[in-house]
Amino acid sequence: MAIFKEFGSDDIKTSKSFLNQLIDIVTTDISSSTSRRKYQVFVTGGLGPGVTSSLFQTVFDQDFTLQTANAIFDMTVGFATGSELVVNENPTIDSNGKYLFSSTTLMMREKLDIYRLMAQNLLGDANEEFTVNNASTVFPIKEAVFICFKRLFARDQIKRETFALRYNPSASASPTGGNLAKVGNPTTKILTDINSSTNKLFTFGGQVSTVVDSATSSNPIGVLFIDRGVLVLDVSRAFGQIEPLSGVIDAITSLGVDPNFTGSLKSLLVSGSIDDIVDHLASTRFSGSDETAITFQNITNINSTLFFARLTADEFNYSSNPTYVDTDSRIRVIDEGQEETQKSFTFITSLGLYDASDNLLAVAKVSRPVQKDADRDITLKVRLDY
Amino acid sequence: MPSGTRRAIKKDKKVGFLQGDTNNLILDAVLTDKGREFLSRNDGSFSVIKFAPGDDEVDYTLIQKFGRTVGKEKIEKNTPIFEALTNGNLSQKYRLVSVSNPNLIRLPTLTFTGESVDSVNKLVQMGVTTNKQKQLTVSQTITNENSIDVELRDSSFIVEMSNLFLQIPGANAPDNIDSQQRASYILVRNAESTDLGGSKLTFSLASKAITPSQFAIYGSIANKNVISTFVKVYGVLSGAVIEFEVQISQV
Repeated sequence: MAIFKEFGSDDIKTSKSFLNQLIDIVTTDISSSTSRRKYQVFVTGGLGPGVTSSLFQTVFDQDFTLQTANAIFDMTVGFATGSELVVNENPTIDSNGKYLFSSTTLMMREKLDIYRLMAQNLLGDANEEFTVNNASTVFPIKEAVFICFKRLFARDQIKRETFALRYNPSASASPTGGNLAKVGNPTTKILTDINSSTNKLFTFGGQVSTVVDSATSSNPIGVLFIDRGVLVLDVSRAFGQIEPLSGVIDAITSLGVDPNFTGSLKSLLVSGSIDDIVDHLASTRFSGSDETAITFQNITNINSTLFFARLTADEFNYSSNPTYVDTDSRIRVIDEGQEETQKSFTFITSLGLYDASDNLLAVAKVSRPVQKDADRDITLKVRLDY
Repeated sequence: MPSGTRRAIKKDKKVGFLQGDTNNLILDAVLTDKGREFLSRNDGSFSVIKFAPGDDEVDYTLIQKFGRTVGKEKIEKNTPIFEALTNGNLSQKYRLVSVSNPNLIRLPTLTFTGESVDSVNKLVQMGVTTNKQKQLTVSQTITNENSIDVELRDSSFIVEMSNLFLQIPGANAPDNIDSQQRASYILVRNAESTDLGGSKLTFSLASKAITPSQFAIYGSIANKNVISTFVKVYGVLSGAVIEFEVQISQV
């Protein structure tokens, strides 16, 4: 008599499987200021009033003040020290290696630091530059937009050839009154990582996919670190560089810097704070109401243990359920007078997995009661995922 | 085609094949709180060794009421299955039993007796200072049989109770206390048996030092001076279960 049955050596197997989830990020989540959270940790020193800014912004799937909001990705910008935007400013470098820029620029050192941080983690060398290439040419990414997907969405890996990003590469063509916060030119561009399955590239930061213009697949725009869930977009190849931009940005007015900005995207990258730049890119280059801006499939690796609970014909045909016997101790499922022909049976509704000390470690339930009797040999395959 | 082959095919037509995979059911398991705790220890204590099927939701009186055919159908089609519970004490109350004898008609059940206990209503009343200890006996009984089959006799019992309010004096510390403060004691059966050969377990149940504040929190709504809790005893081999209420008064 037993209420337990031990698993045999062949009854426990391990397996590995993969789960894909389709992630769809809508434009309003990126463009709306209510779903884009700022962390204003940067404050200019010296004369006030200063400028405060985030070093990155986080895009949520709804109003980020709500407890149910999930962070989707972080967005920021950075430059390589070899960028013309840096070189043209002629920064001086002090004895400690610190770059000193003129007061007409903003957060230049932070933008350099962010690029170096990303390079160190993704390329293995903070001084290295990101590159993107087609079959014939290698293009350095001197100015980059970094989009770092949260683990909740990127999971263990972004699946190759599933990534797409739709955006407005050009700013609004009507700079009157300022187009810094106006929705960009409605002509959209779609970037994809097409052909990344046949061009599997590996870096210090894991596997990468080249993100190209879907209309011209020979035109690479950025790189997607699929293991890290980080997209590095080349600003100079992704966005129009010469379109006029104007509007109000943060500036240290006490030093005589004019907050009324007029220039191009490149000059905004120099003059604007990271908040100004991310605000512009997020709020004007991802237009539309609930249209898809970014989509991809993620991969979750699932390690499973399969337990084969084999209930042979003569096992578990009685029950300790109090309704199984009547007040006369008689088994209810056998009719009186039919004892010679009728055998007992039970119904299974759950299966418990126990350790040697009878501790219940896991429980599995069936969707409906499963009959067990002396004519049935049942194998319940129980999967425990990790 | 030779005639012998034709005959063989004709013979084969009489053979019925059962598709084996229809008997394979795939279930997803959830870890219980104990399973998670063991896993978090990272010391190999999470080790699944055995399994036990259960039938908590099934009402077998339907078979008696509607007969075997309709009763089975009613159980299969009309029984709602609850979700898997992570609380190990509630997940599998009643488990199925393997017995080598396929012709059993009666099964033993557990009854309990003791000084001033209400066996019919399965109720034990005790206090915090007076009557704070009761001796109880749980016995395997069977009616209309001369004896209990040897295979159906339990060698030990597991007694589960609230660790906040009750204890077994004289016994060692509980063998296990879960996150819900349910204490489990594994107790060996008495040396002597019942007249029918069934196992007996005699143990003392005592109330702990329960404070007035605890009575204010855990006391019943109608009477804050009484805490109601439940004790479960089951045979390790037979799986037979008895659960009774213990009312602890603030006296």
